[in-house]
Amino acid sequence: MSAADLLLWSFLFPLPTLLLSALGLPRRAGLVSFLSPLAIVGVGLGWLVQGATTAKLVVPDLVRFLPDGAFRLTVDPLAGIMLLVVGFVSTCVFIYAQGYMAHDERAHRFFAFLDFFVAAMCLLVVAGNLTVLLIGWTGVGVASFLLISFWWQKDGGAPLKAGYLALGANAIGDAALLLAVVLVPAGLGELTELGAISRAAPERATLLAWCLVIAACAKSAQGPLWWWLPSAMAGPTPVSALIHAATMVAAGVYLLVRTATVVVEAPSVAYVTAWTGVITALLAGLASLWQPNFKRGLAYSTVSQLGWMFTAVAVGAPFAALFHLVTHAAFKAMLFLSAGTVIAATHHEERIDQVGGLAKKLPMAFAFFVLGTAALIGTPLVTAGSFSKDAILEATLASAWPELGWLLLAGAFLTGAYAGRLLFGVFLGAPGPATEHAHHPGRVFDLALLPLAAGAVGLGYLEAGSGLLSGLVHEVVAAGEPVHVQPTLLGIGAFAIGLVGVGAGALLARTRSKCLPLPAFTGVWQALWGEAHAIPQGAAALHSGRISRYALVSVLGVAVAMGVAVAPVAGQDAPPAVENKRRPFKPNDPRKKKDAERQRKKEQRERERRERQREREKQELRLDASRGELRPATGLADPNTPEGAAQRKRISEAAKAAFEEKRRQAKEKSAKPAPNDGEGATP
Amino acid sequence: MNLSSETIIVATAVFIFSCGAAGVVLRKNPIGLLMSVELMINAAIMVMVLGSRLHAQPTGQSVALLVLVLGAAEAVVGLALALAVFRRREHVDVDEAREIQG
Amino acid sequence: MLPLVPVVACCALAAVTALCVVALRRPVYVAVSLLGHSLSLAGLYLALGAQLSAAAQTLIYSGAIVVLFLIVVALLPSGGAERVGLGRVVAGVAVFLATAAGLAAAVAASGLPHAKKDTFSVEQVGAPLFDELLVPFELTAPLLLAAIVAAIALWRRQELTRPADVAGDEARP
Repeated sequence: MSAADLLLWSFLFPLPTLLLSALGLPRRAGLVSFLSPLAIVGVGLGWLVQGATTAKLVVPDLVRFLPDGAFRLTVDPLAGIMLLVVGFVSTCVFIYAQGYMAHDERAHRFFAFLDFFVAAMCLLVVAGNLTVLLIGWTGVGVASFLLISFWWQKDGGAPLKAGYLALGANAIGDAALLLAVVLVPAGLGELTELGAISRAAPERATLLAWCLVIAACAKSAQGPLWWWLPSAMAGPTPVSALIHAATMVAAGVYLLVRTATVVVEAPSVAYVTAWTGVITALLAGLASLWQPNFKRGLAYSTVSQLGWMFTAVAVGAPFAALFHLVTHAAFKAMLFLSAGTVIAATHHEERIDQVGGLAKKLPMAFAFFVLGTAALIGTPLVTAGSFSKDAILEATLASAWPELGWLLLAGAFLTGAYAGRLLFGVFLGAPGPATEHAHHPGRVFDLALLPLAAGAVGLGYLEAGSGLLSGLVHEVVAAGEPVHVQPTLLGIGAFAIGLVGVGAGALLARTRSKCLPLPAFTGVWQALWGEAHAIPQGAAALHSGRISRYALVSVLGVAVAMGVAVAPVAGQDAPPAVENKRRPFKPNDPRKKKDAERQRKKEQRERERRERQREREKQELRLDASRGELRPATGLADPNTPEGAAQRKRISEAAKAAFEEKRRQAKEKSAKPAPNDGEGATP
Repeated sequence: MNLSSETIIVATAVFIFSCGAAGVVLRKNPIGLLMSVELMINAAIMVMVLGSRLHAQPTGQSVALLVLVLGAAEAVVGLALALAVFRRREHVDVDEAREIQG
Repeated sequence: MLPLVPVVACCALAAVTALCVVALRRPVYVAVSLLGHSLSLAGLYLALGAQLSAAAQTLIYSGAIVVLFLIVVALLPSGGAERVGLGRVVAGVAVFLATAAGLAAAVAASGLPHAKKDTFSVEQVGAPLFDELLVPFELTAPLLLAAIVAAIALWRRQELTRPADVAGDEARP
């Protein structure tokens, strides 16, 4: 069993630690939980060493009414790399979390939920068709809800409402993905084959692309579905680092990278997606500037960076998006975990105007935050972020819509601004009220971040120097331009713009509130945000506790879903009646067998009787022939000689005469009346 | 549209299923609610038996048997629940049992 | 071809009794119309030539399930006839139309083949239960066991809270 085959089952690796946590072992929660993602990383590295082979598992026809109802798992280079990313970040977060949640009495449950999340994420990554991917997709959504609302009694129920918001957005994405599952034509079920849909089934290709994009937007908080991610910061910081920075929100990008051909070959979809990515990147970057809560600031940063990735996929550079995903996972998780160290140090103070000048008390966290900020703005030669951002900028500027590239370049200023604001506001500058009571929370908070820091720096060189990543995935993901080692003019330009932004952010951090004071924008934002609040309020109205209300909503929903599912295939010819390909189960009829036996035996006996009869007649003839003349048993003369011929003649004449004699006698016997009956008996 | 027997049966099944679905929303009595659910199950069994005849395979009737058993199990649990919740109340109204809210 | 008159008669009866189940006010009437519904379905299966299904429907459904419903209806304090408000009726009609439309669309999108085989013997109906439907068939046994255990557990929980009721508190089950 090669490492690739083992990786197929990577979604089962977290089960042992999940069981342990469910049983409440070990005493100190999560002490061994990091072993399961570490196992994934180990097997993944072994897979790389073995040459990054591909492994597939197919259980055909598991669900018969779907066009592609097989259970498919595929480990190809893209999936392997995602598994490595997920495992690596998860290991660091798990180690960090057991320090962060050490004083929580429900910590075992937390680690059980984290294990469930990792399992669902791995299933999503190794899925070979959309059906299995949907299972992992909904699994990570459920895990996200459980983890966001983990401290559901805090702040008057805010985490629970945030959980409902996340579920609401994810539900929209789940519905879109479900429609995509139904729309996939039979025979194109494998995710790697899905790119052929625009040739094979062109009328469905656009709708399928829309479904995939909507699902990805819901999972990655893009476009009109951005509103769940900032409030998801109500969950514990390890959750924010793992799920809402590195892995779950990356699932949307992963889906788009997997099905990049489908999206790119539907031009309207690609156009809308690219613009959605850019607009989200810019607006989220702007919104990050007036967040008083620094975790929310980081959340908007995540939304912004995901916008970059979406744009990259939509313009036809999925590898750049993948590469940025990998580097972003490392440095964003590092940023979040440093912020978590600050929160743990200041007894859960999350407001940026209450902290400041923490660099002296938390030097390692400060160093990691500086490194993360440098990666975020794309510092060349030092961090990996520059390589990936560079790739995306190049791809957009070279695409059919270069104005997107210029907008992204302008967005680099906003990136620097919000990163600088956070850096200077939290770690540098005048100390805030919470800074005096801050204390260093522990060594584990720093040690867990070291591997992430190494990744943030090293990944770029790994790719640029050896082309390892692009070489691995080139069959699955279109490579585009190779990643350069030397920084290009574009990269240096973007970095310079980012530095200017950092300066602006530093200036902003010197103000009293450390937030952007633009009341007009705030008003607009409030209006938009107020709309998003209507969603959970509307959902709460449905949740009235009345069974009839639930029944009404569910039946109407099912009816709508049926109509939507039937609409694409309505009007087509009815499929032929299903042929049962299996042989009907015919029990062996014992009577039939006996009849056949009997028949055979009877025929056998008949044959034997006839044989014996013939033998007897032959014998008698021979005897009769030899009565007239002695016939030698052997040594008949050669018939070619005259003596032999004469001999033959004599024998045959004698036999004929004997035969005639016998017949005459039989005739005489039959002419006489028989003693017992009056009829003539045949001889 | 031909009014063959098959079409009539399928139309009746659709009608019965919709009646059951409407009954789940309409009825206040919990037993009435369960009976509407049973109506939906009956409609599904009807279509299954018809389908076994249309496609010339006995599997439809076998599945119908299994679904009958399933309906029986579901009715048992539902009735036990209804009894447990509503036995000591004066008004037997499904909407009054709001403990699951929130 | 299917015999038209018995099919139409049984379908009409089934439809009428289904309406009664949904619309009648008194719970006992509803239970009795469910009984009539299931018996009319049994008749329909006989017309379809599915004798085993007809027998199962009569024995299991009418003979056991509906009787169980009737017993429970007798046990519950019925509170007289139901009164349903207008909003609820509108919601019910809306659900009816939506479900019927959705199902009719699904049925119209696929065709209906013509009836082929006349009737199946018990052996032929039973054969799939041991071939391709073996797993569901075996799983019904633990399912029924679970249902029995659940029913008993629910009853026992009621029994446990009864002493408080005897003492006079309004203890909720």
